[in-house]
Amino acid sequence: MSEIITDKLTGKTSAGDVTITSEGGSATMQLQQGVAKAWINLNGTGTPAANDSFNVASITDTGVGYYEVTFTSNMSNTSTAVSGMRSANTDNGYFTRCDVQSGRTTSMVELSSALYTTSLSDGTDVMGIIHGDLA
Amino acid sequence: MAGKIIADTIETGAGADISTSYVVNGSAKAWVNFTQISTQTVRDSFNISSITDVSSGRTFPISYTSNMSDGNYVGSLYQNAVTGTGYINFDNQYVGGFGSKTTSSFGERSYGSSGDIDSNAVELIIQGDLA
Repeated sequence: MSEIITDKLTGKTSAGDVTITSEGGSATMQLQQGVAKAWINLNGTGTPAANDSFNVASITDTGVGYYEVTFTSNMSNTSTAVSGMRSANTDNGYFTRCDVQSGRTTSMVELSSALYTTSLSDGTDVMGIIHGDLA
Repeated sequence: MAGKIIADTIETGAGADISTSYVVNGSAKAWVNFTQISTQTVRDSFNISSITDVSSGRTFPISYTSNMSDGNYVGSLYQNAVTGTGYINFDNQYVGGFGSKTTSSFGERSYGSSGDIDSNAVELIIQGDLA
């Protein structure tokens, strides 16, 4: 096994383009574009708190079933791709959802959660994943 | 020869760089595309060792090859609740169930307007921390 220990990787041909080869070997992609820039699993009951997260600085309770999630490192624009779920782990229901609200800036995204009804409610296992470009 | 790179930063452009923590923390730790029609079958996956057909629309456990560090990971689920696979084929006013998360597995439940139903398209992405 070989091992390279370094603090920084820079593209040789283009400094800003570190490419990786596909599993099939016939394509390449930009490494930075394929990784999620933030994710969070939060408990929205009471004072919202992260069960676990990455690149999340804080959570603000903006109403029943609403959570404003602020990033540690901001995104470069608001055209992010966000997906969400609410687990049935500890909630008494299977058919759950977590929508992305319109409140979205380079520094935060607002998530909402509900069970199978249309009424929003706080969940203990609300999840969001954010892809896009960092600032 | 197997290779290994240990780095703190990957440069994304002039004056901009990205911490390798984004590569580690931002990479999906597992994903799977499977059908529940007839014999439940994985079409393609990463870090998934097996799936088990519980009953109509229900798959549990969906087991990892390499376990997660705890149950606080994140998932994104799509299930279409019909037998087709086209972009017009869905009956998913319900997102579906994703839960029973442990370090080694989780469960998925497909549900449509008629109740529990086998979906031809079940797609899951897992983000979080590996053990």
